[in-house]
Amino acid sequence: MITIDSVTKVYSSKSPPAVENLSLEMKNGEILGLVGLNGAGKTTTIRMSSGIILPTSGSISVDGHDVVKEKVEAAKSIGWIPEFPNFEPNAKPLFLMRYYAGFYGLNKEETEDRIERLLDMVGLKSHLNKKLRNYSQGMKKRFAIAESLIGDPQNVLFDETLNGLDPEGVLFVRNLMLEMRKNGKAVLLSSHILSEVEDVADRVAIINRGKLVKLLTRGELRTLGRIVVHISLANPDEGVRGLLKEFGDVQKERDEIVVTDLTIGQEKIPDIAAALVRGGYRIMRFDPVGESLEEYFFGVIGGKR
Amino acid sequence: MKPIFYEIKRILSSKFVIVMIVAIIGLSSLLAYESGSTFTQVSVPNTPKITVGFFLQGNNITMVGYSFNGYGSPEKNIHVDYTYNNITYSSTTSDTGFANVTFPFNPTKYGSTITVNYSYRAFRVSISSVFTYYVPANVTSSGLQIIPDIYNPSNDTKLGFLALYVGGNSKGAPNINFIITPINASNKSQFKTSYLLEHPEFNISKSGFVVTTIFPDVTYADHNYSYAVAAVQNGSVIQSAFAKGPEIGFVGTLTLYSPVTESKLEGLVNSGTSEILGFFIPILAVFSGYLTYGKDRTTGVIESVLKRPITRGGLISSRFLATSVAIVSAVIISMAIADLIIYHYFSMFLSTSFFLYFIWTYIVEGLAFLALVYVFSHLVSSQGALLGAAIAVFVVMDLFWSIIPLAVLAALGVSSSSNLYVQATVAFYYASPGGYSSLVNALRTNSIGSLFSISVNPALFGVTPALVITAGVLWIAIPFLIAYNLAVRRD
Repeated sequence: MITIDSVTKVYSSKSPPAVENLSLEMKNGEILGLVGLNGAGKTTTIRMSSGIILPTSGSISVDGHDVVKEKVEAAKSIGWIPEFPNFEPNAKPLFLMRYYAGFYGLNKEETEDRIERLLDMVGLKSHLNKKLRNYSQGMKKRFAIAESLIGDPQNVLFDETLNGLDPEGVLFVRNLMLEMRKNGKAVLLSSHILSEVEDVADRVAIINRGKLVKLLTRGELRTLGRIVVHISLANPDEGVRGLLKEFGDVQKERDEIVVTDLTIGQEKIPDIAAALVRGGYRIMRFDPVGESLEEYFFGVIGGKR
Repeated sequence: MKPIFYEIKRILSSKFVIVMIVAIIGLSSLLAYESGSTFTQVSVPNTPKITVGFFLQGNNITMVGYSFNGYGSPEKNIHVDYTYNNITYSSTTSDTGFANVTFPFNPTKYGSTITVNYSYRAFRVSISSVFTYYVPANVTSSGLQIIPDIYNPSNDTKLGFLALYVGGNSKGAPNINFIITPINASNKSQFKTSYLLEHPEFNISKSGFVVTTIFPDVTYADHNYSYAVAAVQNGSVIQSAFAKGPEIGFVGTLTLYSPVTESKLEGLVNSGTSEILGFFIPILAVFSGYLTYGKDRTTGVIESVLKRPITRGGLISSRFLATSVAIVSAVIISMAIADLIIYHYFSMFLSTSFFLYFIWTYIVEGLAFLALVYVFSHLVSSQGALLGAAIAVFVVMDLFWSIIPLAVLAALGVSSSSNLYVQATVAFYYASPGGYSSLVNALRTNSIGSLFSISVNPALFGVTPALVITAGVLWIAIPFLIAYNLAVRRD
C-alpha cells in the first residue's frame, strides 16, 4: 500500500508546482488508474513514490515506510516500470539482473530462479546475449518489467507502460496487472490510453496541473454514463447550434455535433430529434450514448477532446 | 553478487579504465626500464659474492657461507658446494643469505683446504665461481672477517664494510669495537694498529652478530682519504683469518664510489613515473568519474539503480569507492612494477617513505579529481555540459596548473626571488589537486618551482607534513562531501 499525503513537488521557483498538495492512496489488491494530460504530474508522482526524486513537502509511505527517511525499506516493496526505461547500454540482461538482485539480498539460487522466470515471462529468454543498447524500445519495456519485479515488490507502478508495446505486449501487461491484483498487490497504472485504464482500474485518479481533480471509484466508473447525444446531419448549418442549445451544451467536432450536459431528462431525448426534424434538418445519425471516461476526463479538466 | 562487487567489476572491466590502467602501468614501467638501462652512474655490483668461515666441533667442521650483494645484503638461492677430500657437500643460501654445511673433518698440522664453488642463475644462465678456502691448523673457528668495499645504500660512498663473525658453536660475536681512521697510504708508520688506536675517527661498537654491515658516517670532505679499520676486543686487536699480525691488524682501504643512491633513484622516479602518473591519473579519475557516475546521472541510467533498496548516499559512496579501487590499483601497481624494474637494475628498492609518499600523492590527486567530477555531475544536467566541465577541470586544474602560477605571478610582476613569489606558488599548489605533487615534492626536496627550482625551507611557507597530509585528506573529503550532500538533498 502506498499512501501519498499532501505531497507537493516544486522543480523551480519560476514555474508552478509539478504536483500540489496531492493526497492519494494505492490499496492492496487494487489497480489504481492515474490519468492526466502531459505535464499533469503523473510521472512526477510516480517518481516521488519510487524514491527517485524528493517531495518538496508532504510525505509518501510505502507499506508504512517513509520513502525518504526509510528509503531502503520502502524501495524493497516498490517496482517501478518507467515510461522510457533507461539502462546501462553496454550491459547484458543477465548481468544487470544479477546486479539488481544483489540489492534485495537474494541468495544465488533464488536469484537465478527468479531471473529465469521473469525473463521467460516477459519473452526475452532468447535475447539474453544481446547488449541492452541493441534492444528495441518494446524489448526494453519488457526488460524493465522483469527487472522491476526482481525483488517481488508488493507495490508496482506502471508509468505509461502500455505506450510502445505491441498488441501482444499490451495484453500481457494487462493480464499481468490483473494477476497482481488477484495476488493482493497494489498496482498503479498511469496511461494516456484512457480506455485501458477504464477497463482494468478499480479506481481512477484524475490529476490536472499537479492537483487531484477527481477520484472515481469502480462504482462511479460503472455509472459514469451521463448521456451525451452524437448527431450527424446531412444539411448542418449555423442555426443548428441555437436550436440545440436549449437541450444542453453543444459541441461541434468535425462532422459531428455532440450535445452534453443535457438539460432534459433521459426520456425527453427523442424531443431533440423531433426539434431537428421540425427545423428541417435531415438526420443521418442520432446516437444517445453514455459518457466515456475520456469524455468525462475532458469534462472534468475543462479541456477539449 | 553484492552490488559493490558489481560496481568494482563494472569499472575495472570498462574499456576506458582498462586502456588507461594499461597505459599508466606500461608507460611507468617503460620509464623505469629506460632509467635503469641507461643510467650511467651504476657501479654497484649486483652479482652475489660469498664469504666463508668455519668452526670445529669434535670430528666435524661446519662451513658457514654467507652470500651478499654490493650493499652487503643477503642473497638467497645461491648454490654452494664445499669439496673436501674429493667429497662435495652442498647447500643453498636461505633468506638470511647463509648456506651452512657440517661434515667430517680431519685437521692436519699444516692446515687443510676446502674448495668452495658457488653458483647462481642470472637471466637463465648459470654462473659459477670457485675459490679455495684455507682452514688453518690449531684454530677452532674462523672468528672475525671483514669484507671491505660495501656500498652504502643511503649515500654516495662505499666506505662501508661487512663483518662476519664465526665463533665456536656458531656463537654470535662478543663486544667488538671497530676503530676506523683515515690513513695516508704512503706513510708506513700509519699502517699499524697502534696508529689506528691512537687516532680513532670512528669507534663503532657491535656485539652478538654473525654478520653485520658498518657504514662510517663520513662527509663529502672526507672523500679523498683512505680509511683503515681495526677490530678490537677488550683492548686487543682480534686476529682474523686474514690478518698478518697484531702490529698491522686488519687494514682495509675503504674507497669511494658514485652509486645510485636512494635519493638519486627517487629523483629518477620523480622525473619519470611522476610525470606519467601526474598526467594520466587525473585523466583516469576525471573520465572514469564521468563515465561511471556523471554520465549515468545525466542520462537517467542511474535511476534504474536508485529505485533499488539503496540510499542516495549509499549509491554515490559505492560508485566512488569502486572507482577509487581502479585509481588506487593503477597507482600502486605502476609504482610497484617501476620499483621492481629499478631493483632489477640497481639492486635497491625505493625507500618505503618515498614509495608511500608517492602513492599517497597520486591517490590524493586521483580521488580529488574524481570527487570534483562527482560535484559537477550534480551541478549540470546535460551530458554534454558535464563532459565539458570534466575536460575543463582536467585542463585547468591539472594540465596547466604548473604554468598558471608562473603566468599570474609574471603578469603581476612578482620577482621570482621574493618571498611573495614562493608564498604565492605554495598557495597555488594548495589550491588544486594538480599542484599536490609539487607540494609533496617541495616537502621532500626543500625546493619549490617547476621551470626553475628555488631552495627554501618549506616549513617557513606552510609546507609541513601535517599540513600536506591534511590538504590531501581535505581535497578528497570536501568535494566528495559536497557531491554526497547534493546527491542526498537534490534530485
